Amino acid sequence: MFSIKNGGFSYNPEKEIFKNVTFSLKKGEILCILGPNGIGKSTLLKCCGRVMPMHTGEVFIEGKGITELSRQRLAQKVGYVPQAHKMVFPFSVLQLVLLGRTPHIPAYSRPGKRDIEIAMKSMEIVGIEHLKDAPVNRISGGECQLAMIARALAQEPSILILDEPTNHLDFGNQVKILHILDKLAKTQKITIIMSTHYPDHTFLLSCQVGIMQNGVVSLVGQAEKVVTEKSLEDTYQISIGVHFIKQANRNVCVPSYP
Amino acid sequence: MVSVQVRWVEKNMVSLGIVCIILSPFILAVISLFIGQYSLDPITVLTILFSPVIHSDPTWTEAQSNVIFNIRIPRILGALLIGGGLSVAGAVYQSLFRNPMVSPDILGVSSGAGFGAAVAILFSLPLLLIEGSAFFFGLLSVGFAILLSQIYKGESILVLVLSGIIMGSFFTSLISLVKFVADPTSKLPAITYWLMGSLSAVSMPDILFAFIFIVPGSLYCMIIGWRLNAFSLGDEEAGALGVDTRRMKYILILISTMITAYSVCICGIIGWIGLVIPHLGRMMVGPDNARLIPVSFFLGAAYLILIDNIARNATTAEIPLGILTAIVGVPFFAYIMARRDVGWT
Repeated sequence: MFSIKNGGFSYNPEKEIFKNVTFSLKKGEILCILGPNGIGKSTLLKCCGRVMPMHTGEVFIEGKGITELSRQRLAQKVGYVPQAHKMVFPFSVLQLVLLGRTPHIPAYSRPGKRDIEIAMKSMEIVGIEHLKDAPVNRISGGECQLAMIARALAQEPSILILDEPTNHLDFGNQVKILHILDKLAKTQKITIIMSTHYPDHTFLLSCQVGIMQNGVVSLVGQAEKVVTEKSLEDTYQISIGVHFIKQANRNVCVPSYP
Repeated sequence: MVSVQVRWVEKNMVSLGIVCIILSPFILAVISLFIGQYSLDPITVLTILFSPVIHSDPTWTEAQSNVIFNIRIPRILGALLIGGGLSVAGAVYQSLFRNPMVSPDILGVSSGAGFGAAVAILFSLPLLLIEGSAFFFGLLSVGFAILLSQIYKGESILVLVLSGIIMGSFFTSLISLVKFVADPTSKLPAITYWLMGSLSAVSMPDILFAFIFIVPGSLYCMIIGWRLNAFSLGDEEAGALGVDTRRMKYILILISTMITAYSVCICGIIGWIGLVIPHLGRMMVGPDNARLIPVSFFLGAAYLILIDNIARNATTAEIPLGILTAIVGVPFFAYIMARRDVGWT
């Protein structure tokens, strides 16, 4: 479904952000990318969706190299949700979500009835249809993130790339977003690639995990196998205990206080 | 049921509002035909206006018909096209650069064009060459700004705007230099007057060119309006939505530059309109460019016709437009801001 082969990127020749990144995902799988700040997670995600061009290697979607697809075709397959940001102009949530229809609408045209229906449906999926007329700069951070996800859904993508979707969100909203993403992967069979700073999230989703450090995605595999006390210590440079909690029926990460 | 009715009324009120906005410049244009320093009674104005269609013995003098056809009509059309064009350029730039404080001259076009005009006046060139020089230097200034931004490799909007500001201040200094060396009794006042903006010298051929440079470009901006909304998410995201951001950005910059450069060519630097009219439009119809850009055109057209009427009628001497647009506009804008929810807090 989605694969990346020998992916590499550098801003300047001396310092490579990442190289030889290779992994693949099946339809409806979720991949969480963990890694310390500034290691290049966002860059990798952008390269996966060709928001930025990769210098070596290639990304394949449904067996096709993405550089062979036109921008518009690609945008019909891949939805990209950046880290939360602020909109300058007071678009309504519906107008924001409708922008996701851009790759399906000819350049000199405007969204029609069907586009509005699809946008409304995307908002229902993430549960924000009641906000449709609210200006985007007056809604909360959590609602804004949901609106951005709805916008990506309106693209009707088969792959969703999200850059730290739980960033800046309170505890409840973090779990809510994860639950919605899980649901999208399971019911709509959307393949999801996301980055996160919380190893716990990978246990919650029980998903595929890639750990990024020193310019490579070193480990890829099921969360319970990849996210271990050793790999976490290597990644974050502090000792972190991974314990199974019976009441929650899953692993949790407990950082020790130095 | 009641709420359905209320919404129906609301929806139609909005449509009615838009119809009023679209009609306003044309109504103002017709009214403006009847007012001016040279007093003409309405009947004479009407008979002169219809003389090309209804042939009758002239009951008016040559001078009277001259006032209508060679002064009032070109001025009114000029105000309509330039007011509309500058507002469209402003609305496009504000969306493109994701910045509500941006005006059409952010990339240095006005300063460049002003310099072109000032130099041409300094060398006592004929009017046609003054206009040509202004247009050329306007485009040149923006061209340099784009080149400068590419030296930094990055294509970020911020670098482009910064380069524009740099080019703008460069040409502003050159304007000061030209003023400094200009003969203070004849050339200097002419340059100063030009830079402050006036429609008094507009002729019919000017209008023809204004039409060519402003109308097709504005129409293009109107039909591409919805797609322009994607830029409000940022260049990268617009790209991720399948928009060819680079191409679209340069096309829109070219169109806006042509509009603004030609405006400066025929009527000097008229600031303010391109900055504020789009805001006014946004307060009325919201930020969706598919609506905002057409609405800005008509609002700007109406506004400049109104201002030009004041410019030519308020006192016996012409008041430069550059002065009036802000003096009249600021209190009005302040009032609107205080009353309406602007929405970008």
